[in-house]
Amino acid sequence: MVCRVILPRQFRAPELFPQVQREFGRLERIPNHVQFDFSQLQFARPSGVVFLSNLTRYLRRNGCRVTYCGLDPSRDPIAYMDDSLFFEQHCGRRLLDSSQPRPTTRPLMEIRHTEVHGWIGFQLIPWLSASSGVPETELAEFRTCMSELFNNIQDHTEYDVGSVFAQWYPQEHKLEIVVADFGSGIPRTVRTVEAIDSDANAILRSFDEGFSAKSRPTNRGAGLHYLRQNVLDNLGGNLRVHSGSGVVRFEKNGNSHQVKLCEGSGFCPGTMVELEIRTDRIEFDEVNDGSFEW
Amino acid sequence: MVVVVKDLVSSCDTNYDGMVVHKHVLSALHGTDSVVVDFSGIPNVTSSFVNCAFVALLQDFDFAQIRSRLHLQNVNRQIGNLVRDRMKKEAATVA
Repeated sequence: MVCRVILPRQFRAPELFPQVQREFGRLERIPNHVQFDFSQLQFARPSGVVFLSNLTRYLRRNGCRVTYCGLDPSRDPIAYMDDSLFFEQHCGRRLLDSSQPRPTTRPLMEIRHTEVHGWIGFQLIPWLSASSGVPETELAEFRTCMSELFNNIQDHTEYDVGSVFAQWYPQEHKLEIVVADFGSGIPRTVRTVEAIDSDANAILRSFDEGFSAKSRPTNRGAGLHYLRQNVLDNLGGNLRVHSGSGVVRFEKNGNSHQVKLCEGSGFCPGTMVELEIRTDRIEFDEVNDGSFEW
Repeated sequence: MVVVVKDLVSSCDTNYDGMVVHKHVLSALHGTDSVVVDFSGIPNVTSSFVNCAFVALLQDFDFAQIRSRLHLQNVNRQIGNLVRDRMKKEAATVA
């Protein structure tokens, strides 16, 4: 029997999580055949693309047949997904031969942990620099944020791959980048060292400076804190982290950091991080002569 | 003595990169009074790298010794800020 899943009009991960919980529970109920119906899609965002990509891979890895229907490439959201290389990766070919990655995106990619830092340095940073006009040297904090993110995601997963997709909005000088994996997730890792009731609180705890689940003996709880501080203070951005049934959003309100927690609005297998930065808010370092004082 | 990071690792992103640099810096500090670590050609460092390369030195030397004997050069804003911040915070927890 085919389990038909009608994808929501707004194709973003937060709209997909409740659907996943309804259809598959916490992925303990995997049918033999799932068909995703794209016919209702009105608007696609990077988080939806990344999440469905990961979900498709996860279902197939677990023996489920995954098919798609309602694919009309003349419709904008389907064309966007075709240009993002979604269908090339999951159906073996693009819907239209003319589809190709847009200059404003870094297309959907499944990336191994061993390749991540090379991808950041050789693809993401040069592309963002060319798109935004910000010299690569001034993107050092962002580059480190991305590496910290991947280093930490690696600590919360048993798989050696994750997915990433980036979208540049030139009018707003804004980058939206989504990174996700299908590992055990942040809450489970946090609970190996502390008893914390909700998934959202566990995610929040993982961003505290000095907190570490000691997945590696040298971890000292600095990476996620650095990510949060720099995205909010130096990159004019915000951060949304989904894992299990928890969501935590970090944003800046005036001079202070604001944290919003949400629990139980669906289920996110593994970890998904949505990160936005504003390149017009990056301050250039004009006086650095390479010297260092302790 | 000068330890040129780029001669040892291609980037400073991982624990492993940090361990490679740590080994050379530690050896240099045991062998000579003043050690310079040169970051020419390195665009950024992560906390994992700094923890392994520099914070681990606190097991062998106190922070005052490290400050007086270890010098960094050709560092950009990001590298300087993260190394300084991590070392100060970890030294405070050791003290």
